[in-house]
Amino acid sequence: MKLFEAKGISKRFYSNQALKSVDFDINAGEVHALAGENGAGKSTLMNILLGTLTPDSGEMLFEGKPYRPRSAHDALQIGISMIHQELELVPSMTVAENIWIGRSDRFRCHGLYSKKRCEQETQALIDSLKIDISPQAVVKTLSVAQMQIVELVRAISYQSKLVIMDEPTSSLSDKEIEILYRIVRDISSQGTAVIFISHKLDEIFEIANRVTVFRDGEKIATRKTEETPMPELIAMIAGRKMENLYPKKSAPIGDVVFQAEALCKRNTFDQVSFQVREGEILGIAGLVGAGRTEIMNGIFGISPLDSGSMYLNGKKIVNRSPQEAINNGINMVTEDRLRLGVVRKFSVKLNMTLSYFDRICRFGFINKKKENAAAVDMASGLGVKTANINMPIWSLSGGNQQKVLIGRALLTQPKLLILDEPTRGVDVGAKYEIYMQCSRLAAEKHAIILISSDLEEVLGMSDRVLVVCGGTIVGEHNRGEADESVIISEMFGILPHNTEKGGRPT
Amino acid sequence: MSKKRPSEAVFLFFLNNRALMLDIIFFLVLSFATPVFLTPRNLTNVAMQISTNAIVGIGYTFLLASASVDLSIGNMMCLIGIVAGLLSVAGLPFPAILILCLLLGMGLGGLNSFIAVKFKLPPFLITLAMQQIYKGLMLLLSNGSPIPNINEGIVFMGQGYVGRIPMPVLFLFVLVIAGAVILSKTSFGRNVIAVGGNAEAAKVSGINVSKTRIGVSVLLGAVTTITAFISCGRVGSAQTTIGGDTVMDVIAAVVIGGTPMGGGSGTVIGTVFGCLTIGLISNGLNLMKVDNYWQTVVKGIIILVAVVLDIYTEKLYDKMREKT
Repeated sequence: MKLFEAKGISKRFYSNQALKSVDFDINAGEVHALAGENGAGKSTLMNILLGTLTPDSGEMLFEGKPYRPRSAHDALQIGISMIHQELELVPSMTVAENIWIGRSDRFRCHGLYSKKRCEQETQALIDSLKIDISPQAVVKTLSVAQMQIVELVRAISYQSKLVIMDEPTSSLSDKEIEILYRIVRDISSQGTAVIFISHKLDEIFEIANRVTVFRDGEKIATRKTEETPMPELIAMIAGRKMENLYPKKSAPIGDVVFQAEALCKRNTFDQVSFQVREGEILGIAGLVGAGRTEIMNGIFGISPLDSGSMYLNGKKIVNRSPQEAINNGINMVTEDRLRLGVVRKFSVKLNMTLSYFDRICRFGFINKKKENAAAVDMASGLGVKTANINMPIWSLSGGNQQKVLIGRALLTQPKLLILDEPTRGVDVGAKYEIYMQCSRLAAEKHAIILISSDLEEVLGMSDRVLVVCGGTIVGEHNRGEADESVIISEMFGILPHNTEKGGRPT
Repeated sequence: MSKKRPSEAVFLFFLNNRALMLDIIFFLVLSFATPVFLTPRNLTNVAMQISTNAIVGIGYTFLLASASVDLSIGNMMCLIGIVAGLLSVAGLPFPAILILCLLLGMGLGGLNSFIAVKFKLPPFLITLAMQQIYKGLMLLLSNGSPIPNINEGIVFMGQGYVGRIPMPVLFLFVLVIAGAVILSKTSFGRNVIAVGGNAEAAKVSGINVSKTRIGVSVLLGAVTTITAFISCGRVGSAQTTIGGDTVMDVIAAVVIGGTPMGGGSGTVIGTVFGCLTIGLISNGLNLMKVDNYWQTVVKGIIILVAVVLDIYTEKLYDKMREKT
């Protein structure tokens, strides 16, 4: 019998269909991998399974009985626990306290909490898993990898029937990955089902019995790993390209505007060199955490470079802060719209002119007439849908907020415009409009760098694509010559010259 | 785009102009309650009383608008007063004393922010420590006793008149206009509210957040110095006890006035109305001969209400955000 079964699960966020009638099942004792690009729908499905999101339609069965969790607590009660990508431990508490957090009642002795019993039970659990961590150790003294292991022990301590692991190996070293694999094999041999989300395809082949591939909110297929060659899996993740979604006009490409030479940031990226030309859209493909955003943050001065040189129109520039970068002629729309983008208490106008008002000052006084005119022009030029520019920014949809932020960058007349995930959390209609604006800006001789997790978007909009993996540029492809499966292989770190383990990408 | 229910709109208007509304209510109530209230002498008195807090409040409006806080201004004010007293005793001319003390105030204010920016620490903690240092220095310099015979210029700032207008009120008038203009019309003012609204977004947008924060504290130091002069001038000596309640009173006035604790917007005029609210309450309680100790209790309650209202306004906005 299936341990867990989901049928026809759909979920919509505003106008974005995150899951389209997805079926999924897992057996007791099985390790089931989920694969797909960022935003393909894996996390949404897991959040529904955990009860942190409610599906719009569809039903779930756990051990054959209808399962409708309303919170992660419900999920825990029934026997589903999750190890998150972000650590959820209390740094100031010990390993034992963290593992049994919220369940200290178990160790009550004569009405008082017994630290000793708690630590004894923790030791027993740790011993049974054959790992080496002291229950008394305070979590903040542990390494990140050890913390991951503590998370794992906590998930197991619930004696869950189903454990979900979201990229559990992302911060582990090889030795700890081995420990993790061993624990996964141990608990699955005892009948626990494990859902294993991973971007590392060789890992999926190593540990999983079956793999389910998601793309654009749809389940593409579920396969047995032993019957699936790596290239086929890659092809399923990549999918087929849709036409006419991307209104890219070819613009005459001129001289080199921006040149990066051997940019380095310790532990983040290394030896990054590239050029961007006038009228060109340079796409950057890569997984989250591959270093895409970090490289751009380095160029833009958010976290300044350790070494390397940059040239704008042949002139050497140094950006130690975004302010310097903007003055040098580079501007960036960051990926984190809420944290690094909008000022929620400000109107559309004040958000739009945040980088601009300083330039239209006389004796420190802002020229409000000019400010107003600039904001009105930019809002209409970018097609920002708002009643007027004095509306609060939060009254706008995500897509229109994004246009305001693009407008903010454009008002400084940058020679190089960096757009990091400009269409994240944006509905299809607004996406198309943002693409139109990118195309128009390129035709107006701007040089543009476009970063996106959506590979189709990168391929659809770029004149040239750079692939980033592990903090370096691992591939470069011109428009039309870019082969999606090659790029995917590069993104996932399976370079053509070391694919012995996992098969050969086509 | 967003439709507000009329009741909600009226409610919001009241919340946004709560200080002015309270002032009008208190004014009417006191006019009827006591015959003395409406006499020119009493009204001048109220204006004099609120002027010191309101002048500091101008700087503090900038500080709260930038989502920061400073607990040290009371003791800083006292320290500057003592220094001004010592410089008077040393026989320096008034302009020299004023300039030196202004530099000192701006320096101390700037130092608070500089430490916060440099070590990335919450200003709350730094200024908590700094106020102890200021107090210690003040006691060291004064040996714990007030300094009489301060410079005539300082006395004039506290007690003088220009025509029929007392100097403190004149200072308040000029500085409020300057403060309001700086906050709403200059790039520095815009930087301040942008930093308070979302410091990280402001930084990415090319605003120098550290410089802005230090600038705000320097401004606060300057108005604190002026207030120190007026306070000492009023009593004709450099006291070791001035500034005791200043921080609490000023924060309350600024928040009642409509500048949120969380920053992102600010109104200098509102702060004056907020000071007036507290001033009217004190004055009313005095006129009605309410016990001094009770006045402190009432003031505490008012501060509590002000903070609750502040949070409530933000929540109401959040609710409206969710609806859209």
